[in-house]
Amino acid sequence: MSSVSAVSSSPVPAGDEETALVLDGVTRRFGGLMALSGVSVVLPRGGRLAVIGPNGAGKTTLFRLISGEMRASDGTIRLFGEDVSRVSERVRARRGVSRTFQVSNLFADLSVLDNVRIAAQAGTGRPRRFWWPVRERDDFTVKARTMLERVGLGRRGADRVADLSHGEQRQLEIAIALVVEPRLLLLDEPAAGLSAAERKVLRGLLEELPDGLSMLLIEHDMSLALELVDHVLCLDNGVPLAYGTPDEIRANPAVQAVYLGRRD
Amino acid sequence: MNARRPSTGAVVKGAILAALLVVAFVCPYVLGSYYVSLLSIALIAAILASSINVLAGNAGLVSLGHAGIAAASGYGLAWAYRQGWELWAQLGMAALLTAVASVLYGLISMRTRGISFLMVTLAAGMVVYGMAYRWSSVTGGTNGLPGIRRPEGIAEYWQFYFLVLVAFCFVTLALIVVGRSSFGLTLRGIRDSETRMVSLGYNVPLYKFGAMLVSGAVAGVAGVLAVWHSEFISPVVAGFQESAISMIMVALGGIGTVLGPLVGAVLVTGFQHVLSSVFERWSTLLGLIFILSVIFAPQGIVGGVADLMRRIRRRGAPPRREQLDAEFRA
Repeated sequence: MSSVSAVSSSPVPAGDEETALVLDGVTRRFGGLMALSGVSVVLPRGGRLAVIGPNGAGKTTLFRLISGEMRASDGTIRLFGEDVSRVSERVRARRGVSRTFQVSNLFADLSVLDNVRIAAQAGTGRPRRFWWPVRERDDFTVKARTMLERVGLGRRGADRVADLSHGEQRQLEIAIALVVEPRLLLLDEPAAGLSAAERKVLRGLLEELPDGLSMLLIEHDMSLALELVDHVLCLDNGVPLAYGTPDEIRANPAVQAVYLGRRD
Repeated sequence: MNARRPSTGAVVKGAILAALLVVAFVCPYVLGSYYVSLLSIALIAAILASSINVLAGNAGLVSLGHAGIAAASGYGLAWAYRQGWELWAQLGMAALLTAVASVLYGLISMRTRGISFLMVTLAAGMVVYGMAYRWSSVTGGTNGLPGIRRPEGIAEYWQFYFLVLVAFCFVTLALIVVGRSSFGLTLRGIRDSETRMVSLGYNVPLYKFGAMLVSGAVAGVAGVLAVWHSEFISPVVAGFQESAISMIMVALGGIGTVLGPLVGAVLVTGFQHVLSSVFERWSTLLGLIFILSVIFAPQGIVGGVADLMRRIRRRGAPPRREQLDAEFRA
């Protein structure tokens, strides 16, 4: 498995096509509030990184900066060797960034199948098909059905999102994020609110992700998060607190203090 | 060979549409000229309402200025007629002004949504109204442009009715195709979650712009037919009241439904032209019906009936969500 390196004082490499993500001193301020400060990470292609930290640590802000939903106040973000710091969220999505949302962000009045289909047809650049009717057997629908089978929602295609349980909605979130065949996947608390059985399904799904797919994961379920990644970045109050392998992070007293409230 | 059987709902819908078509076809043979003209007015109103419905129903964008696009089209036709231009040139001018108005509406509204979209389209409609009112050397000002005769072949009231009926059917079919296309699905995605669509890489403003062009084209058809019907155009047709009435037709009939604009248009036109002659406070009654519809059938009359039919079909079965949540808690 590829390794992930957090960079502190040494210069951050610019990265190339084999480097999925480079964050170089990424900072975000909201007026006088410093939400994120000087985050530097290098994630190679196929790397898996968990971002952990207590509520308000800046995890979701970091995701929003990487996806382009929000611009960094300072610092540089590179995707596959290209500086995208000033590039829009839409263009970053077209460069291979796909994300799930902390609170399910689905198309509530569409069927489950259409939710995935709409993602499957995103960014295909096929204007000729623009006016074609949505059919049962077209490429996008077939692709969407395959993805629904993969996440365990194969029988729910015709149902409306409102009829899905919370756990199924989280599965659908992941199906939407995966069907676009991303190069960098950002998962924001995918296991939030899931039952033990649903977490098991989710773990199986994430374990089967293609090797070349790079992943950033925000997750409060430590046992799940640490099993799925090869490195962990711990944030506290917007500042990188610790970085290392899951075993190193488990043994890190500073992380334990932040997570378990033992601040001496 | 496995031929798929149509669902009961599809059969019922098909039967209703076929019955409506037969009734619409027979009307000129059994009704007097006044009521046939009234039906023409209702169908033209339904076309304008459909242009609003394609935006509101698919993309969730409620416009309060579409009468402005229809008026631009109508003024184009009327002005060209008075210049003595040929029919094809009159229609070309109407199409050109429709396109210009739609592009301008699209450009100023493509980055807005919700109340902002409503206000921007309202402002655009008022600009058209202002131009129609002030640019009197071209528009005739408050006097308007009278004497716009219908072309031969549709000069008789019943001939014109059939033209309007064909236009309405064509527009409705075209909008069904749009709704069922990848484009339509994309618009519904924008309606449900714009943030998700952007995160998937969709150029949301461009799609909204495209939707405005489609919608504007339909409003342009309504504008031409309205001028031919009344053989006159004045700034009133571009006013806020026209846009608001069209929006009420859509909301009353059912936003996002195929037949909603027609049902709303027939109802409102009936109130305006029939009930008003026997009941002075017809607008109060219309307002009351609108309020009751919003409270008891927020999906409109057609949407409410469809919802009722679904409930009847599912009667006895527990709601799916509750069942799943119960399983989840267990």
